[in-house]
Amino acid sequence: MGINFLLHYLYLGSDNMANSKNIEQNEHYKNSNPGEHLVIILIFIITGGFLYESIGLTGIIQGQHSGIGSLPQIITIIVIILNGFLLLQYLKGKKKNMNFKNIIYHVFPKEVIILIMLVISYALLIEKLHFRITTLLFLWIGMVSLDKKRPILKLIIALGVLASLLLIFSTIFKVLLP
Amino acid sequence: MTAIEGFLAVITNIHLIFLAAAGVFVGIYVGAIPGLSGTMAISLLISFTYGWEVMPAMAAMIGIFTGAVYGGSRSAILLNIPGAPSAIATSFDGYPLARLGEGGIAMGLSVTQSVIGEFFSIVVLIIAAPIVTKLAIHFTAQDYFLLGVMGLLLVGSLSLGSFVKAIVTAFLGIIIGMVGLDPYTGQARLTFGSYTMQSGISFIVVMIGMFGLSEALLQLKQNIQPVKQQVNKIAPGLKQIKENLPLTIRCSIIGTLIGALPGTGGDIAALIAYDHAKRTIKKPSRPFGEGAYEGVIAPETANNAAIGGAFIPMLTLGIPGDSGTAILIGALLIHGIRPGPMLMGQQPEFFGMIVGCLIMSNVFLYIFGFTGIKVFSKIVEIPKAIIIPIIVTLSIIGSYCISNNISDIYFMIAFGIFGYILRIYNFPLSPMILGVILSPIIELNLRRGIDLTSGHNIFEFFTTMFTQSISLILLLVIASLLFTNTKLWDILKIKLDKNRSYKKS
Repeated sequence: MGINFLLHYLYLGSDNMANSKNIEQNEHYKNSNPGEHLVIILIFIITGGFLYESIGLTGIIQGQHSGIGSLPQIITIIVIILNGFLLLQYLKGKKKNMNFKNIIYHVFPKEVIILIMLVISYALLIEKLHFRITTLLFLWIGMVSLDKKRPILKLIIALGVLASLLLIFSTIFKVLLP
Repeated sequence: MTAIEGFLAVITNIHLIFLAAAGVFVGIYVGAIPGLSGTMAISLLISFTYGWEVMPAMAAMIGIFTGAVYGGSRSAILLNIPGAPSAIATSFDGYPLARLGEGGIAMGLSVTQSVIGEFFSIVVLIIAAPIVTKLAIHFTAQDYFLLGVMGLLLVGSLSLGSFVKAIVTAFLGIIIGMVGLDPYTGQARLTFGSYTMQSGISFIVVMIGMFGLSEALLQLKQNIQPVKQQVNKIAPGLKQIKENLPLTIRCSIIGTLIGALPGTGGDIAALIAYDHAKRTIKKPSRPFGEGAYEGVIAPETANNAAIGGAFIPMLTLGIPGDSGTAILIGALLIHGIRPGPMLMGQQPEFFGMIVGCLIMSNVFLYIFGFTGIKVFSKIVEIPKAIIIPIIVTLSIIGSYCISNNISDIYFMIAFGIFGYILRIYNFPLSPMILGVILSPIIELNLRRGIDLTSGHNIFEFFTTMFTQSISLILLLVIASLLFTNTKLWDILKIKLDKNRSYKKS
């Protein structure tokens, strides 16, 4: 009951109703997005990892208040506690039921997956093929995969963009490109 | 030579005028490109200008600095990708304005307010430099710590949605900012044994990933369609400027004071000013966060006002007010000039010359700030299939340029995907960026403050806050920030509004 009172009056998950735009948006924030528990778990994992690392350092837990591990320990513990509040709020709130596969489709639709794969490939290939070829390939394949119409025009645009990037970064600003 | 003579020598020198103009023009477009920053441009310019005399070098660098702070707002407004941390607050209402087709108007407002804010801060620099510096040197470690925490809570309270989610992301940002080598002891921490992570994670990489790549992914998911922008009327009318003059003056004061504090700059100034506008403007043109003009006026006035403010500790104490002035100090040292109280006493003409460069840059900001708006506005009308791969490419180049390290690209991609997931579930990203930026200020001042207490303990560090006037004021501000995000405050506000409307009727 104490926790309910605290949550009711502090309502730390408050959407700041006095400043919010409209009731519909308030409802959106109150109703958890399907899969939100997975994000909360992800944050637990990340923060847990940092807490584990920080415990190995001298800090407040070891009695050294100004140690290098003090602030990491304090902050990671606070984040874990706040994340726990979010998980409680999610469990109490209205949830759309969705299985894991549908959650993945909801978060990562086809176009998003394609772009992520292309970006990762770009980063991996840039060390081997260097900037000009990799960028040209990425720009052209990226544009065509997002809209299959007029591939030749997109190749010309990709070449133009590459030329502009080389002019701006390499020639004018003399920035070292990957 | 006196300060006035130094000032006149600069504004009558065609070569310096040209360099200031060129610097502003380049700075605007550098700042506007996601992935480049004014700080980066000034750093590059140091090597170009090594063989120049000091004043031509300063004219060019001040020009770039001035232009880039404004320029960052262009991509913030049009693409929701701030070109600089000082433009984060501008995106809150600037981007919604662009979605409404008023991106041109937003950019026009941004130019005018930036110019007004900077002129105000230059006047303060001239008149009050010694007074403002005296206030700044009274700030203790506790005060800086509280200022950092206040900045985080502010951005958390400004974010739409859950305040708790905003604090979670802010604190995650602080953790990320601590990855690498400890600045005191040089010991590696939070690196998970990785040599790559020992060099730390740059906030620019985090910003590019979270605002650049994640925005590109989100636009794909949400299938956001291009919106045609109104660009026939860009410059705000005199009536609009007059109506918003009280807000402009208050935000100029905020920007100047925050800029004058060493280590804080346009980013914090802009956020504080935005929050101030949100709390004080009862009838905005639209609700804040939905394209309120006041939501662009406030941060843009403050972030450029912070420029003049940042020069106050730089010139009078030799302490940088922000990252840009930190590099300018480096440039001055390379040219054999050491800023500080000795310089002000022995070479007062130098102070006049810097003021002259600032004023010239500001004039050119007004002239060049309106250039390219129509062209830039067309950017948002480009089909997604073309603009998204370009944004990603710029993000990759921008991440790599910071330290020519390929691992920064991988970090950028990781933060981009993480940021995209967070945005889907309404975790705001601005607090995380600010957490990374403020992490050194918060940690160094916490540890320094603890070491300065007699018992070397954290409890004494916190209890001494209640005995120092500046700390007490900041604690009250933080307490009010926390309180206004509770349901109790919502209930109180509704009751107060009911009472007011009852009394009126």
